[in-house]
Amino acid sequence: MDSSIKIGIKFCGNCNPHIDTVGLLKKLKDYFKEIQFVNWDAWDYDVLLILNSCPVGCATCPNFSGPTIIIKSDSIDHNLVSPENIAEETIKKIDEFIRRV
Amino acid sequence: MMTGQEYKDSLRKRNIKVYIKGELINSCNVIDHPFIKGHVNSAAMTYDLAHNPAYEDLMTTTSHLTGKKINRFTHIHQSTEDLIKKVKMLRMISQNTGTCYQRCVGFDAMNSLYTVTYEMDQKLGTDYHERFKNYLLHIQETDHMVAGAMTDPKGDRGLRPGQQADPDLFVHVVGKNDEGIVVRGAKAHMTGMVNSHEMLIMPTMGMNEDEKEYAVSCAIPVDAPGVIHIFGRQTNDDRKCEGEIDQGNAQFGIVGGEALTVLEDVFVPWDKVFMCGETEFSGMLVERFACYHRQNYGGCKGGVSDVVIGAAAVMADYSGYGKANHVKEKINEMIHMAETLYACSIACSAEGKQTASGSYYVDPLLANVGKHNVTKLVYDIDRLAQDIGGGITATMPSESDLKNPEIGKYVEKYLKGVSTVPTEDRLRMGRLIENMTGGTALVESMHGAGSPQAQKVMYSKLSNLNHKKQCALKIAGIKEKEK
Repeated sequence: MDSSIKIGIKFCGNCNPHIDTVGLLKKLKDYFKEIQFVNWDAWDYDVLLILNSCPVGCATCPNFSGPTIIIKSDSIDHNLVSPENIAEETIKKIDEFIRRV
Repeated sequence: MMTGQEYKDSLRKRNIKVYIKGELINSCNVIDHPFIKGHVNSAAMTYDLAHNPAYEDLMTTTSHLTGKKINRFTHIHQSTEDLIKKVKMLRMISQNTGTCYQRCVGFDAMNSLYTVTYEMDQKLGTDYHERFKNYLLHIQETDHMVAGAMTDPKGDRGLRPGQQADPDLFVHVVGKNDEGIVVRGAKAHMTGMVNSHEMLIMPTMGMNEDEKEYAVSCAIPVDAPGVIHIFGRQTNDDRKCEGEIDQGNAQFGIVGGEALTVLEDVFVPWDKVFMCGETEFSGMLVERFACYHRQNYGGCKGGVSDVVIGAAAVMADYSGYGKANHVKEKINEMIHMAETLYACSIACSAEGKQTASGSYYVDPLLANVGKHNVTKLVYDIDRLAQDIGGGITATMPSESDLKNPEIGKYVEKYLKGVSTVPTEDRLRMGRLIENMTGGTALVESMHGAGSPQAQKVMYSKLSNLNHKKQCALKIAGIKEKEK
């Protein structure tokens, strides 16, 4: 795996957490040990991951021109996903991105 | 932006005069007093959460004055999205504290003064807005906590300020010179005042033209010479001097830690004066502040209600009736009411509008409806929590009994619910319900941000009753007589 890949992370404010986005990030970090996860305001990353903990998905999207993956409690990039499968499907989504890179 | 610890450390540097139960507390140790400690912890959450990436989208934003990242509690709303984020932020913090964190009052005072000083300057040619912006820059830079100070003691409610037997029952200007003004009076029910850095004084109501000395707004450090705070009592507050369990919410306390703040001839330099005699704008300032503040309640009380609903559901599980149909029905009813509170706050924010100053203001009718709901629905939510919680929430023995080597075993044995749940956990949950649903906590829902009548008087002004009459006349086929 390309260890130079960086993923920017932006959380929503977690006022109505249907899923544990902090726990989700931990799972991603455990799975993608070679990838660097940085806060969104570091600006230096290859893909931006927006982690919304409910279906509303009100996290403010930073002005980032690169690829962005939007996670909500019931969807990934607006495609419906069961909450229990969010982690697994997010991993697949990131894997797809890595393969493209 | 300060962290929670930096906020606490900064409070120790004040030379504040706080009396509790007749005793003057050492200024350095005010925040350690058992009556105050929880409220400080709660306010500190507004600082700590701003540094947590999981919450920063709600807790922080960008200053429209400097472009710097700031704590949202020092922000001036620049869009309806800002207004909505405020409500979500309040709900989220309440879920973390289970109580008031006090900082919204100063937040609302700053937003209302930002709009009103602008409009005052436009009409009267004064320079209050520039002064206020300088003050705001100072607050954004220091991340100070500001207590909003509106409510005067008011004495005989049937009399105007100037008709009172004692003129000090409304805060008023008693001196003026080239350097500044001198104010005298008191502010009542001051949420978070004793653990703030400064206060923003506002008039308590719209003033008539002959009441110029009462139309005053200014910023005062909470430890300025002449300022004395007398801390209010709460239901069960002596439990804070004992152990932890009986307090219910030992870490954060109950409501906001209110005080009576006395202003005994306090000098305020002109650069901190934002209204002085402009009576025609006093009512506007009161209304703006009231509506911004009423916007909050579906957020903060929605979040507090989330905790109460959770506590009731857990207590039902601990006691073995969590699966009973009537309990599920009651929990659903509580959820319906909590979301109704939240819906009004979101609605009045989404329907917000831009003001002449450029900042955004809530829809006042919907904000008032939301707060009015709080005066009723929180009581109903809490009633159902007590229903589900059971009589044990009011009759259980103390923490000292539980820990007593002689009788603790009986408390342990006879207050057990489901066998797999430790008795202490059941007692803790019962105490949380007891303390969150009674006494001071309930009265705050009734009168905080204005009593129900204060909301009702807004309906006739804002609801367009004439249009409703026209609708009915038209549908009933009644033709209006030509005027």
